[in-house]
Amino acid sequence: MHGRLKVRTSAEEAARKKKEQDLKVKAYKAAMGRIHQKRSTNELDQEMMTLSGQILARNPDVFTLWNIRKESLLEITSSLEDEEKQALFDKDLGFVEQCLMVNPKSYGAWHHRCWILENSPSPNWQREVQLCTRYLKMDERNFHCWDYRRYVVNKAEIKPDKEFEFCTEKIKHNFSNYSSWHYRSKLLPILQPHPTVKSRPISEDALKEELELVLTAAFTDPNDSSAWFYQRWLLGYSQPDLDIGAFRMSKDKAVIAFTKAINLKSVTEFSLSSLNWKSVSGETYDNTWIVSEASLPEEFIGDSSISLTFEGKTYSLELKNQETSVFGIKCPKFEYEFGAGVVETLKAQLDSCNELLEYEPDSKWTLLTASLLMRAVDRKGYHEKSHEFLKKLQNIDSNRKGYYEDLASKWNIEKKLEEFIESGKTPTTLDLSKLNLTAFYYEQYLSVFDELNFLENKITQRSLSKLKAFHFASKIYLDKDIV
Amino acid sequence: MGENSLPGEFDLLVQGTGFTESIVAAAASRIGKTVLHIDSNEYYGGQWASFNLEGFQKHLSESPNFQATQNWNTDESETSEWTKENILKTSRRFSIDLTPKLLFSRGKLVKLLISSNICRYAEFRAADNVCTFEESTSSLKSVPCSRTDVFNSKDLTIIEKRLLMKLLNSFLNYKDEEVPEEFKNYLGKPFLEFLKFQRLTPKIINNVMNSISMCDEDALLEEGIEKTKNFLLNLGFYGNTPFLFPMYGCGEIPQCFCRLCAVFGGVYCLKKPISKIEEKDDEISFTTDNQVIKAKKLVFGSSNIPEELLSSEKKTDHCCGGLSRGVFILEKPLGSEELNSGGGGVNFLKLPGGNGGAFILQLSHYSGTCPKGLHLVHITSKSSSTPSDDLQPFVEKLFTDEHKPLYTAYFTLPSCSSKVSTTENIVECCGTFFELDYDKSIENAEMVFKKLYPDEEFLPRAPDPEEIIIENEDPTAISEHTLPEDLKAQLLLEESSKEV
Amino acid sequence: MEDYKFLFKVVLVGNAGVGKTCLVRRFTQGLFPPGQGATIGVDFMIKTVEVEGEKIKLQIWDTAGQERFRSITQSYYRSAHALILVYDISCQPTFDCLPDWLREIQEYASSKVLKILVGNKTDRDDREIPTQIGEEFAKQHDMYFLETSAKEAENVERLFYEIAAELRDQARSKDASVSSQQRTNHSDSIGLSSLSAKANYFSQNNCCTGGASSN
Repeated sequence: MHGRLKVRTSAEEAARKKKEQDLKVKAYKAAMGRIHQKRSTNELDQEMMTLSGQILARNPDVFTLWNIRKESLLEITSSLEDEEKQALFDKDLGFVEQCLMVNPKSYGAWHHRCWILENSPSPNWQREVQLCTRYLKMDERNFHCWDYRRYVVNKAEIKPDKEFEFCTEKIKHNFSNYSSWHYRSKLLPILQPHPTVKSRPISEDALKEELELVLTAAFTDPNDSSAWFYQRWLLGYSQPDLDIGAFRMSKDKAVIAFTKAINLKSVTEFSLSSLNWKSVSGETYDNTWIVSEASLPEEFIGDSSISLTFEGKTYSLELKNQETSVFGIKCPKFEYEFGAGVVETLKAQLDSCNELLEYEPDSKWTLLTASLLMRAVDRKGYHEKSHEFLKKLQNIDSNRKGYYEDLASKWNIEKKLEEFIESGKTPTTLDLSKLNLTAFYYEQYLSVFDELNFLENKITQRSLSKLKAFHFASKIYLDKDIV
Repeated sequence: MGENSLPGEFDLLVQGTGFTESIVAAAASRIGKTVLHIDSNEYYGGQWASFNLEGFQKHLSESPNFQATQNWNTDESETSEWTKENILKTSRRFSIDLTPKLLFSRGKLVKLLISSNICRYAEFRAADNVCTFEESTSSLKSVPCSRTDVFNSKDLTIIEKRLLMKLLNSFLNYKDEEVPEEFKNYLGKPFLEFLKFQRLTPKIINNVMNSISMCDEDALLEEGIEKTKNFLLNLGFYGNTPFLFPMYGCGEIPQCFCRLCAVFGGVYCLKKPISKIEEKDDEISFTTDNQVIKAKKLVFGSSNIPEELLSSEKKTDHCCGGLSRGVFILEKPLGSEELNSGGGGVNFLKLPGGNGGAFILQLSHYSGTCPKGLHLVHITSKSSSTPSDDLQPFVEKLFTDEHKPLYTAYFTLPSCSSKVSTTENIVECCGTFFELDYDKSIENAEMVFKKLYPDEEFLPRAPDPEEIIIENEDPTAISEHTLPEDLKAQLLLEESSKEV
Repeated sequence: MEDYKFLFKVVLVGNAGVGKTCLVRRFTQGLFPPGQGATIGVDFMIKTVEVEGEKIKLQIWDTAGQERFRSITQSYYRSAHALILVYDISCQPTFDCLPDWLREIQEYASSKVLKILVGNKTDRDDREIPTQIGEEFAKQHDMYFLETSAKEAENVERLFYEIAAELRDQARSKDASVSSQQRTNHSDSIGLSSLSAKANYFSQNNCCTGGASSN
């Protein structure tokens, strides 16, 4: 009574698969043929929906079919009342969901979903948010879904605090997730803005909590770069706000330097706007603008400041009248200045890093975090120590030696620049020799000096293009071996 | 053929439906042997069975060699929700294992279930927490073991987090071929000594020793590395721990193998005692319900030894069984609310102690083994005296006044003490072992199978239904009937366009 | 890649010889009679049906002969979404056994399982169980009722399509109630599918929710 088990041999299975594949191709061609024929006669009807649906359900990446579907849906619903219209749009949402199950990363399907909702008489945004939650549960790193979520959350008017909760939940589940860290950096400035300082994105209390969270992630898995990005954002290594950084004008030339690139041609209320300003790079936007062979306008000599207005905001700089020129400089903001509470947190984190360095003296990420934290806590006080860490990093993490050298160069130039500005001296000369510099930083500030000494550094050729910025320098000392 | 008569001849008779016997039955059936699988009990699983509460009580009271004691300690006042009567009303919601186990998510059993395609008969829950017992607070604490756990843990400082992660990574990346410096001096020395030298905090040492590696105190570094590594390699597949628990209890597992055996033609009969077993001329005959049946080979479970095969000698080496078991019903579960908020419904704790310590499982209704609002705690240790004496140190530790069990049962799973005369064609399967997963039992089953059918493959993958050729169908044909409807419709388009 | 929206497990029970396998074969393969006895190794049959444009995959399980000596493993009942209890309208004893089957169902199947009572073999002219009797029994025990003939293909498609539609509706309303309650802690149970090669939790940047397939 027992039959024997018979299983298809692999050859039989292959033959069957082949037949199946052939049938599928045949069916696909037949359906596509019909679709094209109908389209050419503009028959955008229910059959079009059925056919495009059948193909898309198997392969959601046939872009033309999504378009045909949009056209058909508009045509079919054009004469309907809202209620009937909505029912058809909802049905199509159900269809898209089926496609997303086949491929949750299909651009076409997500895109079509947006389109349906945009065109629905009464879209249910709330339901879309729930859909995202479901899909992000399946794959928390599906960035298509994160993007879509931000879009529908906005429409559904979900409160940012609810979204923040969701985000926290996702990070708790898996912190290797750029999307959710990134989302945090968008939500926090809305939820917990800094009450007084506009340039600081979030309040001190929020910052403290975030710093702790992100350091925990970093300590748990130092190889995870998503947390590091977020930490840098928190510590404020970002673009500075626009300001005038430096100005100098003599008989035959002038320079104005900004904290970041600006189009000087579009500023207003600038008393020197009549001069022939040119950007150093030749680009429309630049942080350094110069005038050559100009004569100093008589009436300007007595002024104690210059000011200009850009995009509705006025910026100004104090000037000093010196023998042959007028000059002004403002110390750049090298890092955020944190309140006492945050500094306490940073100090505690620094202590943790130092404690850990006792166990793991060669841990590169701890060394780097520690040096960044030192800068944030007390830039001047920790100058030597943070450099010592960078030097160590150059040895133990030789792959990124250049990065550490550049960072050290930047910090060294900052120090010299700050010392000069605090001295209140005339910008005759700035000694930047013997600093192991590999690159120039703050070149727009260096534009005001008569003499710049870069001897005994390690400046490489790639930096030489920046020399153009040194507008006032009549003497630049560079090592011979740079070609 | 009448309802109650069996075919007269089989290739293999398997008596007993315990875990090991069921695997052997499935494996034999899978290679085309005719199998009669019977059990004198009215339930599947033998020593591996699960029962509802009433069935469990009855089973304990009817098994004299279990040394069982049972005790109710319910609040019988009118306001009490869980009186004895109310608990018994939910009897069917219980599924109480005689032998509770956890499966490593990439352990031997999981691999076997998947490779043989038997996995489709069972569902699992991911264990929520691997726990440790915190002496200072007398409570259960979750041991952070996955990367996510370590990140979220509030019990570790960030330094401890880093040290723990680093330590675990060093085990994970350990290779015998290139032993890292920090390990070299400790090979052949106690694992504990190694850990102590690593400048770790006592908390981390305890977690790694008792919860992650589950090593005894005198284990050597090599064992520690192997066990820790194994634990870590099983993480990250399901949930936050390396463990799975079968939904509705471990009693489901033997039945999965029985189902496969049946699908391949095995004949099943519970409540079927057999007698008059005789082996003559390479053929075994036995009687059941007055019917004489012949079989070429016989396999039986050690808890179910046919009298005819018993010899008068006593066994000296007890390889299996010998477990002391405790079953407890609690209203308030051990550990914090957070610890018990996981959706898997399973928490696991290994307590160290003499004689190998104890495995403890706490189950909630999500596991499908007890009603909502109650919790089931299983304790398993090796037996050396009465079960209640053996488990006393663990019970005292765990069940403080706050967590007095409403129901307590102690019993022994006896070791096989009698010698059996087996032959080439008559083979015995071992009972339960003191191990968390099923590794030894699977090895035993495979060994028995190889003894019976030395040249045959052990549980090759069972084909999926669509791979099987049914009756006389053309093996390369695609049946019209099974074609998806949309494809059929599209193909019709093709035909209609031809007609035009 | 799967392209169905729902997957449901349907199991059949009832005495030996009532035509359970015939019903399954008729529906999934359009065959009758399906030869002698069950085909070795066939665990369940699959058929994808479409209800209102949505694809629903039905996994239909048979008893594998374990019903002959009343030795069905309880795990057979466990995760069923629908349960078809079959008797033979021309065989009184198969009807008389229904209470026994119901006891077993109650013990092991989910309390929410969809139950359908089916009187099979309406093609036979020696009927012993009048339709009304079957209907009443079904009503008493909160079951749907249908009479079928696997031989004549009568009501067989209807039986399974109705099950598919009903299960889909249930799944949808459940879906809606879950999302309105926000998230619960309850996680789905896990089916083991394959040993996907996946890196460990500790090696960075890898930990999706798992090879867990939930349904």
